This record gives sequence, C-alpha cells and structure tokens, in this order.
Amino acid sequence: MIRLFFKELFKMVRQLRSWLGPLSVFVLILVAFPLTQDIDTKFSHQTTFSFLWIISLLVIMLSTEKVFLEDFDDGSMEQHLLKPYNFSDYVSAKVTSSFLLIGIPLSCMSWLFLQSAVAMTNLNLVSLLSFLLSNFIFINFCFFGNAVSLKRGSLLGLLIITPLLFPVLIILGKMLSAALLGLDYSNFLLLLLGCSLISGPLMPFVISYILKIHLE
Amino acid sequence: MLKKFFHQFASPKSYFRIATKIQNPFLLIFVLLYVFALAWGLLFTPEDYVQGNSYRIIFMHVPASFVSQILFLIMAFCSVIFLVWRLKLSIYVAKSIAPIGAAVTFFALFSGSIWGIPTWGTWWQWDARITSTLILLIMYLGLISLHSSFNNYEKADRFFAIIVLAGVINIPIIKKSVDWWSTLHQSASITLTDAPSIDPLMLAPLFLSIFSFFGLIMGIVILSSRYEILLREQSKSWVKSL
Amino acid sequence: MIKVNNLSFSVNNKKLFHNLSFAISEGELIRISGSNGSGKTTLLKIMLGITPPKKGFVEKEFSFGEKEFEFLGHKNGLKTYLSVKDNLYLMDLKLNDKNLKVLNDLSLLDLMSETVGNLSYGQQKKLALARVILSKARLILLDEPFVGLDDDSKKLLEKFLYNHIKTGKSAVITSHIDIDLPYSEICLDD
Repeated sequence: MIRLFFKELFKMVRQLRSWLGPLSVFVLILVAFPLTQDIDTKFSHQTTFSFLWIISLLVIMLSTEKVFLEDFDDGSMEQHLLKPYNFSDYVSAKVTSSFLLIGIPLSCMSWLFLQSAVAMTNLNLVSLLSFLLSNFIFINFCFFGNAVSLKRGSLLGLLIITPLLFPVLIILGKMLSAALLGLDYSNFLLLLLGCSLISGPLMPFVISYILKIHLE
Repeated sequence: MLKKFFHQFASPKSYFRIATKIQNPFLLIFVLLYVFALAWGLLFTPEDYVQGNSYRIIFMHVPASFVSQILFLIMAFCSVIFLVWRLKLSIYVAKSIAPIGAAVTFFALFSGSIWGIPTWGTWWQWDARITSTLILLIMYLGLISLHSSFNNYEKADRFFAIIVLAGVINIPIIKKSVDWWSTLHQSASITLTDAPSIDPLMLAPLFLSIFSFFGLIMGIVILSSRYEILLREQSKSWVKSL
Repeated sequence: MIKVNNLSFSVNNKKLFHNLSFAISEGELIRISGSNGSGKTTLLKIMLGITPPKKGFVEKEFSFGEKEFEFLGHKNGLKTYLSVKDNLYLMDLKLNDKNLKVLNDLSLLDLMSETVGNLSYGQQKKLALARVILSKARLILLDEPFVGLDDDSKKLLEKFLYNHIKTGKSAVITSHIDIDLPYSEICLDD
C-alpha cells in the first residue's frame, strides 16, 4: 500500500500539469482578486472565506478532471485491477497523493491570503481546519464524479456531485458565521470532520466499484 | 422456493400484465380525487388570517414537494433491490421515476415561487429549504443525463442505482434543514410528533390533496414504467407477441 | 489450471458466445481466433475476472502464493510522459543482470532515458512485453501480442512462449498472425 502510494505520488510529481498548473491558477486568482477591488476596500470575512472555498473547489475540479481517464485509456487501470492488492488501495493512493500535492498547498495558500486580507483574531484555527477538511472532502467527491463520468466528460460528473457538495458548503458557511459571532462552532466542525472521516475510507470502495463496472 | 416465486412474480412480464390492467382505472380515480381535493381547498376553505387567499397554493405546492421527495425514496428503495437481488424490474421502475420526479420537483419550486411573491415579496430566496429542493431537481436531472449517456444499459443501470443511493442522503438534509438553520421558510407545519399548527379545516383538504396527488403520480409512474419495460425488453418474445 | 464452464455472454441483448466450455492445463498454449467483434478480448477478460459472464463460470486452480495471471491487452499500460526507466520502476522490474539481458534482447537498453511517448509503437509494445517476459505468472494472457513487432521481436516472443509452456506454465493468446508454435485453437465464429 505504501509502495503503491509512492508510485502514484511519483507519477503525479512527474506530471507537473496535474498539480502545478492548478496551483498556479489559484495563485493567479488570489493575486487578481484584490486588483479588482478598490485599494481601500476592507474585505468582509464571510465574502473572503466563501471566495476561497469556491475557488479551491474549482481548482480541485480542474486538477482532478482526467484523474482516472488517463489510467483507463492507457491500460494501467486494468493492470492495477489484476494486481494482488485491493483495487480500492489504488484509489486511496491517488486520493492521498492528490491531497498531498494539491489539497494541503491550497489550504496553506488560502490561510496565508487570509492573513493579508482580513483581521484574523480567533479565526486562525477554524480557518485552517475548514480549508484542510473541505479540500479533502472536495477531492474525494471530485474523484467520485470523475469515476462516474469517466468517458463522458466532466460536466456529467459535476452534475452528479453538485448536490453532494452543497451541504458541505452550507456547513462551512454556518461554521464561519458562528465563529465570527463568537458562538460555539464545534458542532459544525464535528460535522465536517465526520464527513471527511466517512468519505475518506468509504469513497475509495465506492469509486473502485464504479471503476470496475467501467472496466467490464 | 420463495426466491423463485418472488422472481416469477416480480418479472417484467407479469408486472406489465398487471400494470396494463390497473393503469387506467387507477389514474381515473386519482385524477378525480385530486380535482375534488383542489376544488375543496381552493373554493371551500376559509381565508388564512395572515396570508389571505394567497395561501391556497398550498394545495398544489405542498403535495408536489412532498411527492418529489417520496419519489426519490422510492427510487432509492428500487435501487437497493436492484443492487442486492439484481431484479431488473426494480431498476426499470426507478429509471422511469426520474423524469417524473424532475417534473414534480420543478413544479414544487415553480408553485413555491408563485406563493413567495405575495407572502415574502420575492419569488426566490436562498434559504436552506428552497436550495435543497433545487439540489433535488439537479439530482433528478443528473440521473436522467447519466442514464442516457451510456450505450450499455446494464452498466447505466448500475451507475444509476449507485448515484441514487449517494443522493438519498439529501432527503434527510432537506427535512432537517428547516430545523438546523432558521430562515425565511415557514417551519414545517406538519411534523410527526407535534400537533399541526394549521387549522383542521385546511388540514383535511391538504391531506386529501397530498394523498390524491401521490396516487396520481404513482399512476403516471405505472404508465412510464410500462413504456420502459417495452423499450428494454423489446427483444424478448413476449413483447414481440404484443 | 483453469476451466471454463458453459460461458455465455451478450452485450445489449446481442450474443457473443454461448455455452462455451474448455480447459487449459499445464504446458498448454491456447490460441483464440475469430472475426472482429466475435468476443476474443471479452473472453480473455472473463477468464481474468474483469468481466463477469452472463451465464456459466470460470474455475481456477492455482497453488497458494503463486502469481496467477499476467495480461497484456490492446493497451500497453505504459505512462507516455515517463521514461523507459521510470516505467520499469512502476512495473516493479529491477535493473538486475537477468532483466537487463532481456531488455537488451528487446533492444530497449539504449532507450532507457527516452520518454515512452517518443518511442515507436513497436518499441512501446516491446517494453510492455518486457513485463510479461519477466513475469513469474503461471498463466499468461496476451491479446494480439504480435501486432507491431518486427521479425526479430516476433521470434523472441515465440521463443519466450515456447520456453514458458515447456516449463509447465500456460498461455492464452489471441492472434490474427500465424504463430510457429504448437497450440490448441478455440474459434469463436460458431
């Protein structure tokens, strides 16, 4: 499993366009966003956070667009299916390497942007956790969408996962509102944590089942 | 032995025979019942203290939004049966429900918007309940486009069933959203545990309209599933002999 | 070592094969023939367990712990943006003397740092075959393995298959091209 993870990481690192490209797009947007505002504008917390969550979601969608299609087209997915390890381990390895190369940098860059944009008293922990957890969940769901719509374009996958993403976004918004008002946001955080703890182990099994149907 | 009986009874052929017989009387009864319920609600119930006459759209809006969620649950139930027991009939029924569910959900949103204009002064509000119903519509549309994008029907069926089950988590979120987040939407007037907060004079036609609308939609589902069976089983001899 | 019992398969109600039964024993080479679309690749995938049959079943008998299958389909399973050496790493093929000898025979030794995308179709096929040749699997399944190979490589593959079945292992291939080896034929055009 560890060796499989390192192989997937190796493949991903070598294919710069799969992670460096989307991260560059993210940086570009972060730089461009303040330029569209008046130099004296004070950003509101809610708007800035929402902007960062949505942009992270879009960048993750962009980066995971052909995550399974490439392996399916060149036959390496079939080979993974025939190996002695579980097929879901292959999916987990892909998800983990994506989170490492895309999810974590996005979270760190979002948090850094927030330091420059808004007053961050008492918000450092909740913001970093919200980005890490939400990016992890987004990656899992985007992988799921791409597995379903393997040869049918990413629009179908998007249509499928949108209803699953919206509740996560609602929870993020409510968590921030509670944090800004000084209220207890731990229940929303726990919901988010629960969602990532469920999707983390469960999604690879669901995705591997879907991919096996594609391979039949 | 039970499995054999179940498989024989739940075969597309016997379902088709039964459905053909009951379809027309079923539809007729529930159309009449629904028209009666609407007439009762629109014409013979008292005015609402706050909303005046504009509340009367409740007799169309509430059945539609209730049925749109129930249809999704029925699809989920059929999907479980298909995935566990590989019963083709269940997925034929589930697939035929999807476009009907989409239409009913759209109608629920549309009637809700019409209700919103006199009540809230706006035809749309980004609150949790309305947004969740919109998400449900997107789910239905996604399911329809998913199935139609596959050439291989067997694979399409399995994906359809999986996505329905993944989306069924949306239903409790819709139900609970009104409690979790206090917003503009009227809190659920009819709950399982508390006494309803609307007048019994309005409650009776409301229940009747919900019941009859549900029956009417199930009649349409029977009609649609018959067509689905004919389409999918067209190479079988019993279809060719029709 | 593998027995196929009353296999039937259809796609969208169109039958590919019906009640197909055969067995592959040790030291046997099976050639599956048939016209385009007759189900040769599907039959291989059913034997591998990738595709479930509509009717019938496949019985496998392998000793515990031994590698069962090695498969090479129409697609090579190579990463075109990586070099030959990197692809060998992904295939778990170490650069020891034995492996290097085989790579040399396949004329791949000079191409180690070359990106796979820049190689010709035949060279890519040879790299994919390296995985098969260096595999310890008891049953090898190859889908049109000779397509794209030059005469030398074709002879090399035939020699490998001959040695493979001589040591008591088995192979199943689909091929339009005639092969100079003793084999049993299964024709799917009935």
